[in-house]
Amino acid sequence: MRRILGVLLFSFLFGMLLVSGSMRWPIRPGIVGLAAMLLSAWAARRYWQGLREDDRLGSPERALWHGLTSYGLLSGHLAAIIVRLGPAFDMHSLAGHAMAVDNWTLVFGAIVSYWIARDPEPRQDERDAVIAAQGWRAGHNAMLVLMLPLILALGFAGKTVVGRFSQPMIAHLLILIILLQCLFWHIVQLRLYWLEACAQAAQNAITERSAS
Amino acid sequence: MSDASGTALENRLRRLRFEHGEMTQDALARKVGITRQTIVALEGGRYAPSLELAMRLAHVFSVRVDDVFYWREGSPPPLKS
Repeated sequence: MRRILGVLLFSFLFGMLLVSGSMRWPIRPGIVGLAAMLLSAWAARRYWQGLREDDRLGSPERALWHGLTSYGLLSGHLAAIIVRLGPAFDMHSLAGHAMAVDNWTLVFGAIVSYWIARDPEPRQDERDAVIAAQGWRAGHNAMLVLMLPLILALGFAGKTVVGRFSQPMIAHLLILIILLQCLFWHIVQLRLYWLEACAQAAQNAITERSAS
Repeated sequence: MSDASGTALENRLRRLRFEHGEMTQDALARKVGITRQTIVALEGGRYAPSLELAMRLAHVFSVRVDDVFYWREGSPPPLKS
C-alpha cells in the first residue's frame, strides 16, 4: 500500500512541479513531463518483463499502475494550473495557453506511454472484472463526495471567492474532479490486488513452514 | 469477489492439475481462458468462480463440477440475513 501511495504522491508532485515555475527548464515543461512518462513506461516494461513468471503482474494490474502515474501527473499538473491562474482563470492568456499546450503534451505522453507499458499479450477475466467493478463503485462514490462541496459552494457561496470563478475555472475544477475520481478507483483496485498478493504470500509462507 | 478470509468453497484444482500430467497453473489458465493469477486465487480459496468458469474447469479435467468444488465444512454455510 505504501508503494501505491508513494507512486501517487511522486507523480502528483512531479505534475505540480512542472507548473510551479520553481525550476528553470531548458525546454517546455510539458516535454520534460512527456520524456519522463515515456522513460518510466519503458523502465516499467523492462522491469515487468524481467520478473519471474510467478511474480509477473496481470495485464489489468499493469494498466492500473500506468493509470495511477498518468492520472497522478495530470491531476497534479491541472491542480497547480488552477491554483496558479486563480478564480479568474483565463484560457486565452499567454500563461494559460502555454500551460494548456503542456497539459495536452502530457495527455499525449499518457497515451503513448500506455502503449509502451501495456502487456503485449493482454489477458483478463471475471476476477479482474469483479475487482474493476469494486474500483468503479468506489470511484463513483468519491466523485459524489468531491462534487458535493463544489455544488454547495456554487449554489450558496456566490458572494465569496467562489462567485468570482470564471466558467473555464469551473470547467477545469470539474475536470480535476473527474481525474481525482479516476485516481481513486485506480488506488482501490491496486489495493485489492495488493491484498490478494499479501494473502498469497502469507499462504506460501505457511505452506513452506509446514513442509520444513 | 470474496473477502480476505476466503470463500466458503474449497476445490481440488491443485490435485487435479498434478493428476493431469503436472499441468502448470498457466497452462490451465490458458485452457479455460482466464489468468494465472485467478488460478492462484482459486487454489488459495480466495475466489469463488462463476458457474460458467467452474464448469469450464471441470470440463478440462473431464469431471463434474462438484468433483472440483465443494463446501468448506462439508455442508452449505447458513445464509447471511
